[in-house]
Amino acid sequence: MMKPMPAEPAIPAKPVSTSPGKQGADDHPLALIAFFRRWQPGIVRDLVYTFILGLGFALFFFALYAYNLSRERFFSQLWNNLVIAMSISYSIHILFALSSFLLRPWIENIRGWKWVAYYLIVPSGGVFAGYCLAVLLINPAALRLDYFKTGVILNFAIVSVLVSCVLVFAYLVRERELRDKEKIATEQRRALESERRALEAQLRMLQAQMEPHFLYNTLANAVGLIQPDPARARLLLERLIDYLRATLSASRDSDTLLQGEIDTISAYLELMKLRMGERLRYRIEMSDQAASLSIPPMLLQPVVENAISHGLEPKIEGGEILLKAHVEKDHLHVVISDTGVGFQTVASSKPGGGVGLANLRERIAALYGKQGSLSITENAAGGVSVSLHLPLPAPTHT
Amino acid sequence: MPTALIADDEITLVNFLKAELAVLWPELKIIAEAYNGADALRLINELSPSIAFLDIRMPGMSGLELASQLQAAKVAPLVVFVTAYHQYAVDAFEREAVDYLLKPPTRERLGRCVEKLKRQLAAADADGTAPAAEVLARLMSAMTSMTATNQAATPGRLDWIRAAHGNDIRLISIDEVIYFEANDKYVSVFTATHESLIRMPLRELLDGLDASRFWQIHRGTIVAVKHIAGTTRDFRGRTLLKLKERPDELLVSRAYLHLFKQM
Repeated sequence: MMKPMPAEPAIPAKPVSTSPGKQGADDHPLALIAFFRRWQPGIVRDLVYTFILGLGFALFFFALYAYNLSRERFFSQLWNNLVIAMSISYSIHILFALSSFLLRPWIENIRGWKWVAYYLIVPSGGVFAGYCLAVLLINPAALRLDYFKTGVILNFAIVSVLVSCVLVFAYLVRERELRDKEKIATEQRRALESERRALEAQLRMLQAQMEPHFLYNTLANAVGLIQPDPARARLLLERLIDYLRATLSASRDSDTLLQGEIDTISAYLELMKLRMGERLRYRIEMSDQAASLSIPPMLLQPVVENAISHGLEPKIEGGEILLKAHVEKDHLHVVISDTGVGFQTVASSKPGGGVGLANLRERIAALYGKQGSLSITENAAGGVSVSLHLPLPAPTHT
Repeated sequence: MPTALIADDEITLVNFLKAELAVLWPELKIIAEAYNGADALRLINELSPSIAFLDIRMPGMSGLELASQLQAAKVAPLVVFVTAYHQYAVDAFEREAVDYLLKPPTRERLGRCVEKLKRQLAAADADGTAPAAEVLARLMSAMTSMTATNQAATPGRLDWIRAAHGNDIRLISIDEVIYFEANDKYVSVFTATHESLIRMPLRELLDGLDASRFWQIHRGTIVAVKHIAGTTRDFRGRTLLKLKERPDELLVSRAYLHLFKQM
């Protein structure tokens, strides 16, 4: 005669991997344990795993009350436990196989409470059916003895649902763990990606910083000035040397003081002024506090070059460039505005229009993430303003 | 007597060329100087010089645009380009009749140019031909192809969007845009940090956008594909789009659901 078990052999639900994007990739619950992930998934593997699980649970529950069993009851109880555990295990296995075969398209898309319900109902049904099966296997007379009374069936059902609940909960925890892991991996990939982009931007910056046409044009000017105005030719070459020295050393430093960057820009603007004459005017307004901040080299220089070559050079009467740098609460704010032709004609006036700004934006994103920003606005009076907000670095006083 | 015009936006270079030509070709009379393309065109039409030395990059109108306008005119001068741009155009040009000088031209090189011009002038006196249009066309195409490759974007596509942001007009790079949303009268453009209004109707916007990078997911919504994090369903069974850099969830209307069937 069967006596009610102290606890049902707990056979974990056969779960479906629910990591996003991998719906329907069935896996065996045993595969939750790292050791069992070595085997390739397959029908044979799953059947063997179910056997191992069943065996494990049978022994586990048997061990719980084996100590006070009499010798003659020992093997029959072990046998009973084995039969019960196996019939429950395989019932659940078969139910899952059956439902995934019949309902596959539906199962692949379920989410939320439907998912939970599915993974409660199927194993509950499995536990229930397996238990009934086991009772009949152990004692076929149970059917005739009117064993399956309402009370007993209800008992079975409640225990089955409870067991399934525990299993679903465990599985959800496991799933969250996986999802967190995935999140971390994504985060790491993103970090690597941004590192790579920073390097790339760095490289592009180095490539972009010395435009050959600029050099040839400046040298042509110097040659042109040698005879009629040697003093100006000398001035031009001196400014060119300043500028070359600053840009070449900047490409080797990782950080420079804003003052240094502004000196480079001044040399460049001075040089352009010698070339463009009346057509170029410029002003630089910088607070002392801002001047002592360290910033990455060649961050502002390309913006100024842009303003000249896309804004002022194409404009017949030329215009003015205004560079303002000051500290605002917790960030450095730099605005470079020009009174040039504005944005609409940029793309066609010179090769590379717009690419420089895109590079700069990328570089700022790579260096500062969300803390740094670049915005480009059109001035009411014409021309473009580029403003940069950069988080404050540790101040340097060297 | 041969006459010439020099056009360059940098006065030093105009003066330099003038001085050099005075030495190499004393008979040549420089009848005009221009510091931008528009002036150059006007002066050439007024004075019809026999030679025009043109800088390629000039405000107002580039030397190439200017030269192609001159091709259309009846009496065109011989054109010599003087520019800091190098190899790409030189290849297309070097073996041809019209000359092409790199800045700064050496006296020796300018001397050869002068010889060439003299010969051309003599020939032109005989049959009255203008500089070869075909050569110019090749140079133009070399220039445009270089410009195009540098710009990375296809012409006609939107690269930048002008958006009202408070009192400012902001320029938003198309790469920054996460999605566009049409309201009653306006279209809003959303980036990771800002929401701004644009004046272009959604329909027009859609024409200017690369269909592989931007998807319309609703009558009033266009979203940048690379910013889509995934989809989710709400309790009513509607599909909502999740974004990577904004918390907003965008409704996908039935008509566009097919876009996400594979996701």
